[in-house]
Amino acid sequence: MVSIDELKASLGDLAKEIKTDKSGKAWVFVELDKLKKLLSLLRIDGYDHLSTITGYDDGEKIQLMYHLIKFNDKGSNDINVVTFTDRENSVAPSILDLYPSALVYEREVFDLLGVRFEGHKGLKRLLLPEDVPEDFHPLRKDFKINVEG
Amino acid sequence: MGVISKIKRWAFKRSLWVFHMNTGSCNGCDIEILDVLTPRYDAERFGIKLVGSPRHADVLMVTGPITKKSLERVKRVYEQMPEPKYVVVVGTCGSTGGLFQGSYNTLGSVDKLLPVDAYVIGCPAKPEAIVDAVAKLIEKIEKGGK
Amino acid sequence: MSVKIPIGPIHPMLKEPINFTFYVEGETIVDAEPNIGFVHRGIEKLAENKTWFQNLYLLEKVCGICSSSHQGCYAQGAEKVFEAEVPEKALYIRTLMWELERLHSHLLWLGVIMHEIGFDTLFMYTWRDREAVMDLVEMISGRRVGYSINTIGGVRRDIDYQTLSKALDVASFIATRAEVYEKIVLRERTILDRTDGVGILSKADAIRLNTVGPTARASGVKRDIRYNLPYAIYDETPFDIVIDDGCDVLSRIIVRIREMIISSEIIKWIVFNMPKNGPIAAKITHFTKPPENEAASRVEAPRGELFYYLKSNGSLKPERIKIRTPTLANIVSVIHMVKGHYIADIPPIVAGIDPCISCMDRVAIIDVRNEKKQLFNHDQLLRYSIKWYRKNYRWLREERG
Repeated sequence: MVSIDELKASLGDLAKEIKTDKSGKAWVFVELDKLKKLLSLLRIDGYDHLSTITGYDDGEKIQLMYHLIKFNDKGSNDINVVTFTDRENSVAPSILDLYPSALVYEREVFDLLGVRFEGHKGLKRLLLPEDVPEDFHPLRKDFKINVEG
Repeated sequence: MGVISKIKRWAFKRSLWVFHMNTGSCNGCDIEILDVLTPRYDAERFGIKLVGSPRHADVLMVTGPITKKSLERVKRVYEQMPEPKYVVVVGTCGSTGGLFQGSYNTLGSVDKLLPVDAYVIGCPAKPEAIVDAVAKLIEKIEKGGK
Repeated sequence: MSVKIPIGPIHPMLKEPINFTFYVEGETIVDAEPNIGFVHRGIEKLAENKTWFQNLYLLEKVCGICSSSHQGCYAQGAEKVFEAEVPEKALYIRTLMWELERLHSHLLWLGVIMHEIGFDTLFMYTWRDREAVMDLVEMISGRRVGYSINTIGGVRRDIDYQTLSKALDVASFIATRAEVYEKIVLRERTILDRTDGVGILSKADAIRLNTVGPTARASGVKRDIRYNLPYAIYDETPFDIVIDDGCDVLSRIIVRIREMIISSEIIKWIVFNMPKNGPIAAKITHFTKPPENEAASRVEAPRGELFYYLKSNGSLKPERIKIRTPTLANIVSVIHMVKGHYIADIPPIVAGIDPCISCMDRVAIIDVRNEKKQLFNHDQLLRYSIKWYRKNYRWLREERG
């Protein structure tokens, strides 16, 4: 478990805010334009495993969460980096050059939430058929489904 | 394979050739279908044989709630099957939509797309129930019903 | 020889939904592209419209083979959200089911990959042995598939001594069988021809591409969530992480076989150390509202790291559930692995990451030299591979050394 102070020291003023949850895991909030810089620092520090990228529409903004693991035998740790982008004209920088596994995760967020990742080679839908309308992004909060019972 | 040769085969072997297709299921029913082939249940003695192409099949055994991407393929597979042909739906999600009712990417029940001859309910359906359904289907066919 | 590699859909010939497109030059693969979404049922969206408890039953259907991994990972995450104290006995039962699931999943997979390379005898044996695990699971939970043992706060069913004793028998039986399989795999020429030196994924690439599960461990990467970020009772059970340096399909087989032996040992430890009495679930009901909270949960499913993110808005329905399956995580690695291999190697390489059965339903092969496109269904591809290997094994053995 890495301490908040250690994290704050290594990330400097790149992070907007760092919180820890009840199990001691860190949630690092960062502005969109500082995202890549912060992730490179973490990557250099050993957080080389990207579990996935979670997209979440809270109605006002689209949250992008990057869940990382630093594998270090019994001293491993996981961390969550959170950033925000707009609902209209949603863009974010692609982290493909840092994490090749982002290839599929960025496509998934593009597919279901409509976020364009700039710098991603071949950004297209991953799960939905290609012939659905361009603005069909079902994980958006204004997209409703009807589940009977 | 034409109708005459098919009837000849039934009369001679009393077996049904089944093409199994997953239209988006979790694989629960699929592995129970495959289990039907293993020594414990040994489907071949009941006259069930899995084939690799719909063109040789008598029965289309479908699992899953038919996702958008698999829709065209299901239609195509059904069209490739020669008459007379039957459809058996295995599992609750193919029969009624199950847990996935209301989803934006599933059609729901297979009978919205194809005429279904037998439903095997269960999530997943048990191997005994699958064998039972096919045995009942054989009976139904022999009695000349559809 | 100039190599033209068209990336992206190039042939409007047939709008057949295909799972993988392989670009080849003659018999050699130069690139690959996944085409997934056939099993996309919109579960994350459905989960926002169902209650926390209803989702226990929705989420175990993400995958029928590792249903307990999904349900358990979700329950674990929900317990973090609800800030619940899970009783010890519940964690033991939950972990027992997880390890039994690993056994049945690896046995199933072993049978499937043997079928892929034409060794059907082993398919029949492994699936027969698997029935012992299915019977035990049915004794514990009442069901063969989709056991639904988890609830938010613990487990739904207790376990008695008779069942625990049966678990010991099954664990010993499977461990013995696993040793037999390991010997067969390492000795059978037909198996070695198709797997030794095939589908190489170097350790560096496995780390770079964030490969998960036995596939990564078969490339010497010491990553297993049970070991590195222990959860449930994995920090108490003594177990060895299984690693192999072979980096090929054969290693992936050996790793999974050895993991079965390790799982048997974990099961025995659980049986001997399970608390005799005690509650099996925290007092959380369908009507308990969680605080506004969020949590990440990870388990080592049979196929690798399974990740869940959960967010609560304080109501009876979750605000967001995010699922990342291990098969999705390994797609990038598969694409990397197939390059330079022959079409006939596709079945063992793709099967080597242990994808869902329906993943290989349909495959398209495009020759970049003449833009000729062939569609294979699973059966056709298997028959093609087996025939091709029968014809070419002699020079292949020399080439692979």
